[in-house]
Amino acid sequence: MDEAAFATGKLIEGIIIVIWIALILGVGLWSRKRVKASGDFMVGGRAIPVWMLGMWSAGASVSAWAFFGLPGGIYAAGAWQHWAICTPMIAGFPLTVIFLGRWMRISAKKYNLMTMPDFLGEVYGGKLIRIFAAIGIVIACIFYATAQFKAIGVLIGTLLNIPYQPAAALGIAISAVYVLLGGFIAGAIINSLNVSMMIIASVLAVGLGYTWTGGYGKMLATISQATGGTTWLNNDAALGGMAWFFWISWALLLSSFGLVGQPATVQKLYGIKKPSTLWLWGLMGGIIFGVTCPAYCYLGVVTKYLAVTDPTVAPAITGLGLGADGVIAWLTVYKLGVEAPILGGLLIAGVIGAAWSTIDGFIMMGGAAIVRDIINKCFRPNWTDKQLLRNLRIAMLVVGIIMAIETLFPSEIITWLAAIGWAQFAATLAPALLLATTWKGVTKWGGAAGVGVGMAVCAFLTLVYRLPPTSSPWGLGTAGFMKTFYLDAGAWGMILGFLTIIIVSLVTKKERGPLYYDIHKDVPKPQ
Amino acid sequence: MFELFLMNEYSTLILIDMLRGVFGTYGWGLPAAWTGTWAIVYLEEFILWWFVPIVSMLWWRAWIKKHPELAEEI
Repeated sequence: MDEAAFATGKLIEGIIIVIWIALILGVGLWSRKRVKASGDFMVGGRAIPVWMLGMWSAGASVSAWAFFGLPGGIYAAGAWQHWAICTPMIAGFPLTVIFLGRWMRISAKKYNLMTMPDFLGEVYGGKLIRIFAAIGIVIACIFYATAQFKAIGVLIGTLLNIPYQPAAALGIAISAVYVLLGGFIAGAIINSLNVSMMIIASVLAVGLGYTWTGGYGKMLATISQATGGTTWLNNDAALGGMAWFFWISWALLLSSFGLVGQPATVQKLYGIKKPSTLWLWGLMGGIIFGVTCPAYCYLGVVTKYLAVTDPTVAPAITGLGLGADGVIAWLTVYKLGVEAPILGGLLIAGVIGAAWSTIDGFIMMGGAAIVRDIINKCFRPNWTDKQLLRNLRIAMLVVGIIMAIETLFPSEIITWLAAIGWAQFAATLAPALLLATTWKGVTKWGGAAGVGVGMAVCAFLTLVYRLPPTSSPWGLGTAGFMKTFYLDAGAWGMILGFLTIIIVSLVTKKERGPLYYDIHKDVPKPQ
Repeated sequence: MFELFLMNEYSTLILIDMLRGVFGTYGWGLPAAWTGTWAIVYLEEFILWWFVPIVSMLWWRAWIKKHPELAEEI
């Protein structure tokens, strides 16, 4: 490798990233003056243009997980993850608009809705559903945000050539400043900038990948030949023969319908100015996700091609000591750093920005779940807005500290950390949200039981069995888990959550929350 | 270089390479060379990316225009 070109490339990438960080922190400071009430902090005063929220939601779904995790997973274990996890998420955006979005938005003012448990609490009624939903959200937030933090740590470590832990600590420190300064308004503006950059950079990166590999067909044929057949490419043989079951778990449940239960993506609908423009959110979310996420998967395939055609690539990636998480770090810092440092810098900067705003969202959500959904709504309803905002910031700090500990000692590679978080959200929230607007038969106890079962099943299976043996004494890892349980932990949570809501609702008293009677107008309200 | 404008999408990439194989000497060629998985992936990509968000959201837009009262705050 040309050391001088590498050093110059790293410097250029570093300068672009520093400028971007400064811009982001500047916007955070500017928006701080505009955050006055908890409503501003959490939903931007419900006056954010739909295109901005569409970009933010897509960016929050893509984030550092898709850029770092998926290509790493694809490089290591095969392209099947692309169509099992990534592509079906495109459908999640329109599905959210069709099944849930309108009701969330048009009922937001009347019921002062800010979080997902708010919506569930008003439809189903009762405190228990809020508490179960909030617990699931806190667990999911920790895993999902850790994936983002870990990606930043991996990247900073590779760029500055320092070990993972100090790099992760540095990333956490800068993120904390940004999160405490800004909030929802900062996120919306910053993410529009980030996502624009991500779209441009990903198109350029794929273009460059195309020129490196000489075409998609040639790339796949070369990899297939070098890996001795189709295992790397084929659902039938990948993941120890369980990739089709993984595909069923994710494509049919967690990625597509499960997106309905992702607060980082869906909660933003509360902030849309005009409810009639929701379609644009669905369209933009789907298309932006569909442009960027497959592009990152493509980079994983490109890196695999480079590794099978150039014998120095695989040892260089292994040499970073980061396992599958080192794939994109190598590609952006070592490959693009030499050949196209400006593009590398733009890619990294856009994704770091997206990771931050996602982390921001998750810390806020975790804090809100504890303080607003459990304490304020269930036990301390008389808090003033000032008290709520103060306690929200304290809870965010607590959640942030837990995330920081998990980031310093991560239990999984990036792609599975994010997948665990995503699946926990989907299993906890998606069944109750989907049935709330589509089935008249739901009841208070059905909702609470369904959310509780979805949350508990997914959390138990994940924490006990799905984590790798290094993190849990009974841990099986992803492939081992799939071989034992056939469907992913979140898919079991979602299926059992759906069934529990239906069965319990059929046999319990027809008690419901006030929003239920707004949604199902033909059901008479009990006097 | 036409691919550059569209290549961000797997389905488009595959289609282009397929056509290059059909009409030229260099490219992936017809799906007969693929495994069954790849044909399904291709279909999934194409439908999810090109049809689901665009068609369903344009339908929703037309529907909400016909029923503007459904988009009013309750």
